[in-house]
Amino acid sequence: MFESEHDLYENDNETNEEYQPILLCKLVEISILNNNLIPLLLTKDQTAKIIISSSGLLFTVMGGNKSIQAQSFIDSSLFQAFTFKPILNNKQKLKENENESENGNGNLNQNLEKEKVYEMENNNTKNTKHILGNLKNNSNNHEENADLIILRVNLSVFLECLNVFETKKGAFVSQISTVVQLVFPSPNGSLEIDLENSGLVASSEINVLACDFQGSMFDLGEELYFDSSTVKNTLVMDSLGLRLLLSELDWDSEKIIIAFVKQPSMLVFQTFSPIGKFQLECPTSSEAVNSFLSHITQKFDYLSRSLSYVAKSLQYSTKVSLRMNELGTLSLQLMIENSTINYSFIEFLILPVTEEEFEENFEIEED
Amino acid sequence: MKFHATIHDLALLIRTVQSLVKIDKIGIIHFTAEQVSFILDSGQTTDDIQVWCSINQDSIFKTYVVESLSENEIAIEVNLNNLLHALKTGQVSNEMSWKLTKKDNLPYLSISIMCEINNGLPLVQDVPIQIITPQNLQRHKEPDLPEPDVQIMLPQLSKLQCIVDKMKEMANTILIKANMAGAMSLSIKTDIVSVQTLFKDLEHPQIEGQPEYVRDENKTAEIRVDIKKLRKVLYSHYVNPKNAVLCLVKNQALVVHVLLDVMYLTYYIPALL
Repeated sequence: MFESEHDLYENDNETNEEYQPILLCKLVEISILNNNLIPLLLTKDQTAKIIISSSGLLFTVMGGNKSIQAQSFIDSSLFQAFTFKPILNNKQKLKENENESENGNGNLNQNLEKEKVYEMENNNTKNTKHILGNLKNNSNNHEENADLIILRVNLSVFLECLNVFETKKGAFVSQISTVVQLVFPSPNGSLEIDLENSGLVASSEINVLACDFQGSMFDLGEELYFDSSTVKNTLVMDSLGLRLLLSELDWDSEKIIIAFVKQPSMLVFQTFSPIGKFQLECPTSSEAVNSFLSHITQKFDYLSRSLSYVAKSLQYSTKVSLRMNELGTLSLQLMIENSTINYSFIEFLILPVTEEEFEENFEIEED
Repeated sequence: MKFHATIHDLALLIRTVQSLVKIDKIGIIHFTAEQVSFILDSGQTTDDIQVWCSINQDSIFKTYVVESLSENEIAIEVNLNNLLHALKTGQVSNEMSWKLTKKDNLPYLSISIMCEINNGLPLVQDVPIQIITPQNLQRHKEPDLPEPDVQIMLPQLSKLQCIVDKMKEMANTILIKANMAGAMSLSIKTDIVSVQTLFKDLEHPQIEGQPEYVRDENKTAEIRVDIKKLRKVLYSHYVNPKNAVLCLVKNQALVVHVLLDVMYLTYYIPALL
């Protein structure tokens, strides 16, 4: 049996209150974490921001000079046990900080409240699935705002620790999944990962690069924000279909043009490389396409290495949505099927590249 | 000097050489009347892994003739990659034979393969070798170490390698701790992360002629070694061992004995102080 070594109870001499770890969660299917986090490895030494709340864990990473962002929300319901107990004596400080900084956080409501940005129809039951459900329903509720903790960790190391017992084909003890327990005992502590597989136990402690719980949850300025109110084109398709499409592209090309064409309705990919121009068209009547909604024809350039991360991640998902807003920001939401009834979503936001940025990033050879 | 032999168990020979080539590409093969031994000992520095492997000759050779003026023993130095390549070619053959030959005044281990692909003609591969004189062979000796502080049976080597592989991505050295009560841990620690894997309920070897061991939690030892070296040693799972025994000699070395009925491999990994 898995032995929990992390029942932390500290007596607070000042308040005489017993403290439990801030986070204690247990998962019997380690593949859920892997499928939702491996796609976030945009670089070899990837740092991730983790927002912990009673709803779950939101991982955010940036890459490619901040031209790409990936987010993965792992709902607390996916865990067999999920306990989140923020530090009690900091709640008061949190209220004070919020009163001071409220005026400077006009975008906070929009950022913290992850809208129901997309609906996908289930062909069988016509249930709709909502991507990235609300982290916060009401950012004016200061009590709720106190229930967030933000960590920064090295995601690459996190995944290495998570997969100590895993081979490329899955757990080395076949047919037995590794049980994983995550513990964050205190703000000054390390993030602990405990694994158990057939009596083997591994414990890891990862130094947290930063831990914020006093007001800096408002510091989301560095993150990309997708204004879904200006979405002009939306397409939903099978991930396998998009994978096959992307596999046909010329990845030697530095940039890829993506176009949503209103009439005739289709999704178009274009590349330019020394060997020539290449164009791939996916009519929306294709079997792989589930739905397509277009207001206007749009066409923007994107760095091919940004799209390559999405291409690699599609193997973990069953369906994908593509949305383009009026600024050309591309949102790709991958639906991860954790079980027949449990789904989670990873969202990639990719900024279009301008001609000036393209020339800054790449040297142009002179004849 | 005369040596010729026909192979009986090519698969075992290939698996053995595959394990050894992960340690070093140059090795010594020592043929005696009873045994065929592989020695990987560069002799240059004590920081390297040393391997001593011995196989009963009749478990791999069908016919076997060794004749020399040195008590009918012959030792050769060979590039194990070349040897492995030649052995793998022989997997399609009905019969493989070895012979020491000399061509243009240079010594070779000639490996002859009979197979249908070549219209029944033998396919001969000459693997360059160097003859090791008895005096030079004397310089290669197994390290003389004190009795180990802890001896413990290792879990499945392939599983261990999987774990060590992951740890290798995060650190350069690994600390191995064990006690005489069946517990062993592997741990790494860096500025960013620390990872510890704990094994319990492991057995301890019963050495013939020695009193039965007594479980003792307080009898412990720990050794830090280069993690890449440990990983190389764990490739010995290729030979499908019956048992593997870990011996910790404090401040000196980690010794791994990999055991089959007809052969053993002993690895010496120097401790990092």
